[in-house]
Amino acid sequence: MSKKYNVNKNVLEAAKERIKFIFDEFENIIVSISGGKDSTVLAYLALLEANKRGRKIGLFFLDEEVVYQNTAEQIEYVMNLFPANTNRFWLQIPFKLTNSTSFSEGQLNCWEQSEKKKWMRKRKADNILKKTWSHQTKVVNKNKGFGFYDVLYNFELSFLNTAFLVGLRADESFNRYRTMIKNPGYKEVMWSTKRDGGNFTFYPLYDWGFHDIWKFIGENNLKYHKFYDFAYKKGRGINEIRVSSLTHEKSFKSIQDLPEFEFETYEKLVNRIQGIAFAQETAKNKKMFQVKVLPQNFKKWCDYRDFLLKTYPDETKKHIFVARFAKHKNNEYVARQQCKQLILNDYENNFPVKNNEDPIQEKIAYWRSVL
Amino acid sequence: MIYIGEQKKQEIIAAFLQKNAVDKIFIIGSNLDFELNNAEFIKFSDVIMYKFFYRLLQEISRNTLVILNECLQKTNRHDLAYNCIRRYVLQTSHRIIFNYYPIKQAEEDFMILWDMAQPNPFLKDSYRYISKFNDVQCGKIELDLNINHIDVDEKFVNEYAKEKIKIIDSVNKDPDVIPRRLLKFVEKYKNKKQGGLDSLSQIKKEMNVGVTSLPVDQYYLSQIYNFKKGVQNVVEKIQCK
Repeated sequence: MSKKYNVNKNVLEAAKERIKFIFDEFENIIVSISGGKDSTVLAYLALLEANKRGRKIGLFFLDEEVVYQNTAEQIEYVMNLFPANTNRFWLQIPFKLTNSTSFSEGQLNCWEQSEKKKWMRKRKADNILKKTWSHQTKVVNKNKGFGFYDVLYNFELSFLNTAFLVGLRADESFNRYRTMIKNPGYKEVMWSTKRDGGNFTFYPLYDWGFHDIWKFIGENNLKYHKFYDFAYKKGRGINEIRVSSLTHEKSFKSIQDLPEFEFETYEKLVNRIQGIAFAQETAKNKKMFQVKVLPQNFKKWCDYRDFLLKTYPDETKKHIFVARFAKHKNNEYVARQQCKQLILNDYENNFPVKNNEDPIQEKIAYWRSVL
Repeated sequence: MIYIGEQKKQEIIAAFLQKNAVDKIFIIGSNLDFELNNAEFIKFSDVIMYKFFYRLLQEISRNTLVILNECLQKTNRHDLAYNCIRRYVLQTSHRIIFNYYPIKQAEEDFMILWDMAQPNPFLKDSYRYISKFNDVQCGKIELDLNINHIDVDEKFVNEYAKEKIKIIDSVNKDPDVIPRRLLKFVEKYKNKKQGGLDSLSQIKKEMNVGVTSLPVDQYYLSQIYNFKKGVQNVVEKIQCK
């Protein structure tokens, strides 16, 4: 195990100490799991401690319906590692999920009763099938409706003085690093953040590296999501080997591999929502969903943006883009981002446009004056 | 230890090897101009390659000496190449860092060398806030600039203006090619008038350069003066122990 931040102990020893600290300080502990490697390791470590102390902890999984079959299997595995020490919080309740692959069906209504026939999987009776909170449901984004983050927020609010454990790691991205250690949340603990309702989120694995996780999984003979082996065999880089949802704006690229990895899941997904087959072919195309190269017919991003806006098919949502773009600067830098929003049908504004001057034009103007 | 300027590299390494038990040596950056037993050389551009990265992480142990020779080749402190180098040197405390000039462009560049000598890869101190640099040895640093003034006729001034517009119009992604291309254009003209001139864009210990009154030459000349001043400031800061 590597040594990080703590000079005299390795990350495993440090994580165990952190988990012990949380158990000493909180009666209610809930670990968020996703089926990925990090949350599997975190849940296992927390369950070991719970088992040692004869206590129960919650394992929370928000089921987005459109996930790999293997994710569901992995969650079931984690939930059954120490059943006597586990409170099962596997939520299969209706909510809206962004579908970036289609203009005609911009949102997926997960677990919606009226669409029961098309569900990707059957729900299980021992899972949670109705909302767990008694307070008035809070919704942040009116354009989006009751979405993924709203479920998380309302679920959290149904608990008091609870420690939520999350398997985020700082080396995944600077944003994550910043989120985790910018300010102390609970007492002087830097690897925590304060939440509403007297709750706190803790990141006991924040200093673990990619290889630490795999070393731990190997040494403890833990089962893990099969997508990792698949991606590894395909020669993917470390940052690409990750398990995620299948359709939302930041993860729809994983559809590209889906027919090869889980053909049956792909078949069900094609029947479940619009746009899947097209995204499967073009998710990583630089001219299409990547929006990095201009199509041949256009010389400028501004022209391409105008074309996309003019031909935007959903009149009920077109005004959202028109009003939003009216506040933006009119330059190539901004226009490319606007094109991305239009291509991804991002009326929810999940990828906010950086409304700056075009840095290339600024630099050219500088050289024009200096030279 | 960081060694700046003129250094007796062979003697420094021999003395180090006498004091420490070293079983293998890696030279990273530019090769040394003398032979070393049991040493392997890795080019700066190769340090990021998987075929070296994973092998070196396995092979560099506490008894390995890593010599970083002229590794200050980029100005971005967080460049992938530097990240890889820091990974390598973290596995051993036996490190010798040679770099003739302590900076690449700005004074802050010295922190790239400084990072390579530190045991903690996550600390990124700011140059401004460090008042004392330990374990840095400065030798003599030369930068002799011989300037030949070259006149330009009006015809070439017009050609220059046309070329500037042409280059600017052709830029798509990287505007920083503008001064480089323009300098190349002017240097062609200068070399026709007077041969044997060094380019203004490459810093050398002894430079014999031609300078016209055109803005691109003035820009590059000012860069060289800034570089010279930067080197001087860093050396002063190092020597104020």
